[in-house]
Amino acid sequence: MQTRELFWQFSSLAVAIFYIVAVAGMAAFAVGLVRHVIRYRKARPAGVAIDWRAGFARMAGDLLTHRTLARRDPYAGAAHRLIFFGFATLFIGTATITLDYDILRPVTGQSFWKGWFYLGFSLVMDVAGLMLIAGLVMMMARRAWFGLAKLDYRRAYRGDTALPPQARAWRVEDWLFLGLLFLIAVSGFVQEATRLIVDKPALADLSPVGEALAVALTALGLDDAGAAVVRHVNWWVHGLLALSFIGAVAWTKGKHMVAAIGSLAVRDARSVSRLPAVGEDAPVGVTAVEDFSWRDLLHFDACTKCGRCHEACPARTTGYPLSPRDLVLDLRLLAEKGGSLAETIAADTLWACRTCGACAEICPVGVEHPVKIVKMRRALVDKGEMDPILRGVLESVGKVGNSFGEPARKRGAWTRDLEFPVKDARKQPVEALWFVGDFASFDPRSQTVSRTVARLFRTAGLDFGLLFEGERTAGNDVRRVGEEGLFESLAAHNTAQLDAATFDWIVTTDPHSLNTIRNEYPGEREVRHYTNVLADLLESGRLTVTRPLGRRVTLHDPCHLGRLNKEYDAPRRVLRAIGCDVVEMPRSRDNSFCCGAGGGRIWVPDPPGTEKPAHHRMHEAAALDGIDVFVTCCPKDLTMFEDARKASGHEADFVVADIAELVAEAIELKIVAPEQLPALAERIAESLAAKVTARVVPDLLDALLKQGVTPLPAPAAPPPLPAPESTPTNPAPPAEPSFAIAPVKAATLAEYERPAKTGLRVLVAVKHVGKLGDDFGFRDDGLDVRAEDLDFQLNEFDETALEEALRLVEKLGGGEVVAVTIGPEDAESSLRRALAKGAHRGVRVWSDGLPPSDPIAVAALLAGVAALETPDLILTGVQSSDFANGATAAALGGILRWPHAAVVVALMWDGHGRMEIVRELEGGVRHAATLPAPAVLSIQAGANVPRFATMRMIKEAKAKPLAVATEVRLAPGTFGAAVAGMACPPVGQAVMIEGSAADIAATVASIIRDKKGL
Amino acid sequence: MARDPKYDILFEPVKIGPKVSRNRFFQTSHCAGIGSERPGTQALFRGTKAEGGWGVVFTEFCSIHPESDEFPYTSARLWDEGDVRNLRPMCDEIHKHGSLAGVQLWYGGIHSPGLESREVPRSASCLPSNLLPARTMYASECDEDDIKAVINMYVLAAKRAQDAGFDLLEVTAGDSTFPVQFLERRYNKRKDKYGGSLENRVRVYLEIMEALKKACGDHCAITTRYELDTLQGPHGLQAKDEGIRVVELMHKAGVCDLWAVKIGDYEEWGEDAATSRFRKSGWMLPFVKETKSVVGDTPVVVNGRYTSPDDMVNVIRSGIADIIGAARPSIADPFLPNKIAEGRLDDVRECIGCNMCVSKFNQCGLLNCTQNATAMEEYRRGWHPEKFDKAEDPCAVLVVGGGPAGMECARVLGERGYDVHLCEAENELGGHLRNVIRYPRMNEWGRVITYRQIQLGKMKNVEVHLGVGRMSADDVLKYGADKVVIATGSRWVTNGMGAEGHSPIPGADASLPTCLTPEQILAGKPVPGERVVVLDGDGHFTGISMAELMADMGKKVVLVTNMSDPAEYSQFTMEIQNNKRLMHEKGITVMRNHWADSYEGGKLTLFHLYRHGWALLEPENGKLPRRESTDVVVLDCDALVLVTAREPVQDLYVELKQRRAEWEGNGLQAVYRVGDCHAPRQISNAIFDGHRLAREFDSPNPQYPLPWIRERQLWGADTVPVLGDGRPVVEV
Repeated sequence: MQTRELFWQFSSLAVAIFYIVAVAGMAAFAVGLVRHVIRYRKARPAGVAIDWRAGFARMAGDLLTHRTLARRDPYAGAAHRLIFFGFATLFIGTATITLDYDILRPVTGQSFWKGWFYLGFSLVMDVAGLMLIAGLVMMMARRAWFGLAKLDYRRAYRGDTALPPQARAWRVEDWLFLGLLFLIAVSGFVQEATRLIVDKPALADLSPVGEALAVALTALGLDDAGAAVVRHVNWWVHGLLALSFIGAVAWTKGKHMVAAIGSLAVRDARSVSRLPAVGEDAPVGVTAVEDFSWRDLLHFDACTKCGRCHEACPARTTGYPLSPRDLVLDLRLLAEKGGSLAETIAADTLWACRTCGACAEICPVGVEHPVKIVKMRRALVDKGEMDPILRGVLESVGKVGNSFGEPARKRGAWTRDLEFPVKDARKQPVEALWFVGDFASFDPRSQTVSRTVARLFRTAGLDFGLLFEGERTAGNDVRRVGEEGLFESLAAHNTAQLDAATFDWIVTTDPHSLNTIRNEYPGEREVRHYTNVLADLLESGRLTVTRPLGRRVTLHDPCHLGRLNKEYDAPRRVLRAIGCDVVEMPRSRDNSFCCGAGGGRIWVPDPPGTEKPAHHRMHEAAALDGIDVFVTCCPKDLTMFEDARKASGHEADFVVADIAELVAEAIELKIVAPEQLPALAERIAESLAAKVTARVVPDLLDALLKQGVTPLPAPAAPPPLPAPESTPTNPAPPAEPSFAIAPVKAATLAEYERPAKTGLRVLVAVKHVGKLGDDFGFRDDGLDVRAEDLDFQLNEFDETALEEALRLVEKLGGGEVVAVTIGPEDAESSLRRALAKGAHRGVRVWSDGLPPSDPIAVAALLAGVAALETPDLILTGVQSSDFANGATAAALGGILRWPHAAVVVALMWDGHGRMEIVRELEGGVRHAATLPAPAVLSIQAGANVPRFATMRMIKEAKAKPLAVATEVRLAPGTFGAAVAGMACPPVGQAVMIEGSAADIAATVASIIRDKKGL
Repeated sequence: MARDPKYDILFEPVKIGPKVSRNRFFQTSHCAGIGSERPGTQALFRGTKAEGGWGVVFTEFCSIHPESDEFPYTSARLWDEGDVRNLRPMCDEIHKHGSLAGVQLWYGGIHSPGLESREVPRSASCLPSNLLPARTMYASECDEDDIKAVINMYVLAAKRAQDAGFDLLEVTAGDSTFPVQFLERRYNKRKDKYGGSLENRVRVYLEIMEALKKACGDHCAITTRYELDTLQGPHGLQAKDEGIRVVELMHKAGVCDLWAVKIGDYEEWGEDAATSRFRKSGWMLPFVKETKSVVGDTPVVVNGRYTSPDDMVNVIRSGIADIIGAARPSIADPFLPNKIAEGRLDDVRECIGCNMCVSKFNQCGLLNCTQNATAMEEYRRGWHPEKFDKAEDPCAVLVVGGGPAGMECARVLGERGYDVHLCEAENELGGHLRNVIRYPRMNEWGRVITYRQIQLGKMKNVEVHLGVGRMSADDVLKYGADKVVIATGSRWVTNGMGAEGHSPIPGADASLPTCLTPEQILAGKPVPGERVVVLDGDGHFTGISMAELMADMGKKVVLVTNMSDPAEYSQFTMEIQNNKRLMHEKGITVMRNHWADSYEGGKLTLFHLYRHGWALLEPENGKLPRRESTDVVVLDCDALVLVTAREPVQDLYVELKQRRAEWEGNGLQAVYRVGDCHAPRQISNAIFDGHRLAREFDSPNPQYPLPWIRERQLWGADTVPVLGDGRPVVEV
């Protein structure tokens, strides 16, 4: 029967010594293991629910398939596979021998480790040993020659050029680990070979490798006697190495063999998308290593320094002081040796994280780095140690419920520019509740996307509504910043709002809101990303593509949509449906590279001079072969990448657009405001043109020159551009505009309530004007200043006119002053002001179809009022303080064909005959004149001191009659001048002229000549 | 509005030893009258500053041991666990807002009156206190054991401070405290290793710093506040001599994490906390500018009553200091840093440098602030300087009078959402302050008006009507307001009535061309002749300002006062020395303890307050029971300026009260009065009055204050220590 002797020529003392060493080795392993277990047991609870059964099953799968190891690094996967299965087989083999020799034989006297089983065993062991050696050699080669950045422990991201001291020890440990295993395997084969030389068994015990080695050694001159000596010595070498290895497992890098199994078994696929809550009595955050949970400690031990996280991290890649690998390794040292957490992990390191989850995603042993970072951030936030800007943002989120610091009521303001009302989901049931999120609500660029999405939904007939000011920041980033308290209050508020509304499902354009509502809000709700909804709408035909785009595009997977919520296909389905050719970036889907905005980083400006993650991404996209559009489906992405495209120098390469904008183009969305689509189309065309000029033309020229052809004298015109397909075809303008000059006529107003005229009646036209605040901007359509930047009030020039009218009727002892304004309901506040100051009655004229209000159109309307009121006198202020218009009175006089005088500073009239007036002309010259009644006068500022309204007058004004004339018919041909656009004039720059007096004089002279055109 | 990037530097974090301040705003320790005895007031008063953006917030001076007891002046104390318990809320409150808490460890030595503890302080030499010479205060002379014991007191107090949560432990070597008593030759007569050469005299200071560094230096920053120049010339520390050499020696020893430098010793405190009448912001810079070049990277704090961010940036950019220290600007506007950060410069409530704050402390009272009525009221009345409870049912309020009280009342009512009309007779806001700011050196007080004017202008629900003339009761009744606040102020009496005797001076009458009130002078009434007597029964700034104004007009001026010192209140505002220097320089003669008997034909008859005999005589009706004297002094004067007393302008209020029956018919529900027309007092009182009325406007009877939280020991509460506890041993 084939077998082999375990203790060949051993004295019983030697056998005893071996058993003592063996037990010591295994004891060292056990003690180390128990020590770790005790540490874990003392640590804080995990804080997340653990499904042990599923966890073990998945872990077993991970181990058998090595899928987590082979991912994105097949070489390392293959090498580890060889080591793992080789080692495991050898381990099982040794255990089999122990079972046979130390248990079965002493107990039963039987042995199975012989004969064919033994021969088969031998062969398997030989192959396993070979696998182990092969794997180890691959690994050693990789470390020695591949020069992989992920295996470099230098912290270049923080400027280190040398290894930190602890890392030097790591490098030694890495090599010792590989070397020791290698020696064990080799000495095993040497043992085999010397045994074969000495014993010369039949079939060489089916040990091909051992046999080959034996042959080689014999050929090298090893005789039987020599082999016996080697066999004796090597037995101890092999045995002691193996037992030392076992003993060292729990104390060195080897502990990953156990810890990784545990770590994989308790792996939480949602660790980053659903952060652990702060327990009732637990500290708010982690301030010392003792505050970590046992899962955290297990993660520290499981880390094998493979560096995949280091490689994937967007912060590390762009030079921020964070490497997830180094963070975990530092924490492991702390957990083992103690020390100050605050001194080891710098606050800047923690703030560098964007919680994109790339590290946790790729970690082969299931370490959840971002969770630890957020835990430590919570402590920083608790102590208030954060960037003041961030603090400000959190404060404004706390105060007004959004990170923009805008009043809460303005959250729904973006809907005002839509052609249709958007439902308020708090007031009526809807199918889809749209949770808009901060960026999509307040950021002007994202607002245009929001409006496009709204139009798409409406076109598809989707019944949707918003919470308007009921919505607050969802809190995803607030939570990732570490402000748990604020997050909880936001979640409570939004949950209450959601619970009060009736809807079937939630849709959002914001992956961050999606993540937190889906995963972190209490209760189950169906939350869908708009790409998902759009994909369904397109595929079911509720949205019909009428113009497939045929563009080459690339798609950026938002971290919070893709990696954190595993939605990769929806945006691609949309792009396919609208006929785009999707070119994937090297890093896509689960390997998508963060734009840099996550984890609250969008609120904290990156330090100037650093490369931003978004720039990195732009370079990546630009390296693709000629894409037209970089497609985003996250408001934060859009913001980051639109900025980055310009800042990273890829303006000419492609445009950044939201996926909804492409959909709108492809279905030829009819109701899109004209300024929306052409903008995108224009940008695409520009970018194409730039691309052509930059790339094609020089090549063509070069080619021509090479052929010796004289270039054309005129600069080479860029080849005709492909007509921007997306430009909506404008209705052809009428060939012959038929202009005819006709006098403006008074508008016709329907009767409104007013008293019969009994005495003198003076009309005073008053205007509700907007006064600009310190900070102002234009509306999205560019046609006016944003209403919220205007402080509306009664035109102060009109106050003088009103006072003049009041003094007139007071002097005459009777009569009526009627204040008239043209404007929507808002204007009534100014009308009331006029009433408070003494006007007897107010009239407001407004109708939705009125032309834009310029002085002529206003005069036509006032003339309509005059036709009904038949006043004896009409007064206006000399001008309006908003646009400095001063033509209304003149136009009104013209339309009514009444006498008119402007810039009147004094009025004397008895109410019957001609009135005497004094006008102020240029240079202080005064002009006295008389006019017959009725007349129109504009009263100059300073003609009198207007009275102020006492509180009584203000109160009484509330009861004064105010009629509203809404039925208005304009005479045909009444137009108003429309505003085509508003822009800020360029700011001039002062220039310091330097040099000698003569130089300066010459420069000044040339400037004067230049300016005067001499 | 975003902040101008040029101010970004003010918001850079600064490393202070093991701590990091989030910005460069540093509230240096300042007295407030709260101490460890009022933990709630302390916590919220200091915490509000942290909330407003001050990166570092200190206590007041904090006694480390009962031997160093300044009672009845209120210091913080770290004598025992009880003090730790009472100061911890302040630290927590400051930390809540992300700022650092600091404590100034104080051992007064020779200057400790010990009126509560009755213990004997120790010092370098056994000498009488020069600061309070009349109180028979001596310190015992330290032998080497005593020095060790005192150092031990610092260490024990520092550990308590650390326990309470303080981040910065500051050894004060200012205000002539223990370390300075060793440093200055005039206090240090020793011949051992702690006396003689500068190296010997600085030894105690160094040993204290070293001991603290060793005991608490790992977790707390060990800092100092140091007077680089005592302003006593060669008799004391001089900035360019020993003053800076001490800094060099200390820096070489490497035991100091931050330098807060100042000038002036305890006697010249008024040069450290200088008023705007004498010093413009930044006055210390010539004395302290060398420090930074000596201490290198160690942060330096400099004070200078800075309220302008441009000035602050200049100080930092010019390399004089790293951190802007402030006491008074942080009281006037706890939110100064945040307002700069948010680009809201026009919302900053700038300190006017009136020293009303410290004057109240010097009267053993609680600090108050002219500009900020909520100072010290954060806890006990629950007032936040920037937040106001919205009125639930705002009504229409007419405020009559745009002086300090009326402006403040209208402002707070406006913030609370009332519809307010503020009607002012004149064409400008400010009331009597419009005159005050035209007195010599008083222009900075105008900030009281500008701040309120800007704030009122921003509120849509507040209308300010200027130049409406004096409103009659009819005007008010017809105005249509639901409630009316009368703030018509006060005027100087024209008949010489004053605190002395409370009766008019026969012959004094400001309708005469030779008799003038301050208002008349400012309104342009001519001052006849050469010889001017200013009769000052007010004692604050008006009398001395009139005297200075007259002297500047070339007059020969005599200032007569019934008090023991001219402008006696300035002993509290710490202007008294400079006031006296100024009068001496300008040739103004002072007569103290005199008052006027009569004035007639250019002759002012004065009597000495103590002219009658000291012995008491048999009481007899109609006679003074003393040996009566008719001694008088007669001054020839061409003009007599009457600064004797003020009277409220209250006719409108009185008439409205009398016509109460007409209120209802006119829709008027209530009439209140605030400020001087209620009782003529200091500007800070008028502003507080207006503020308080507005804060409590919806209470049942807002004319009278609601109760506030009184912090004192309630019977039955535990005491620390309890009787029978052992003395913490400091002797080695």
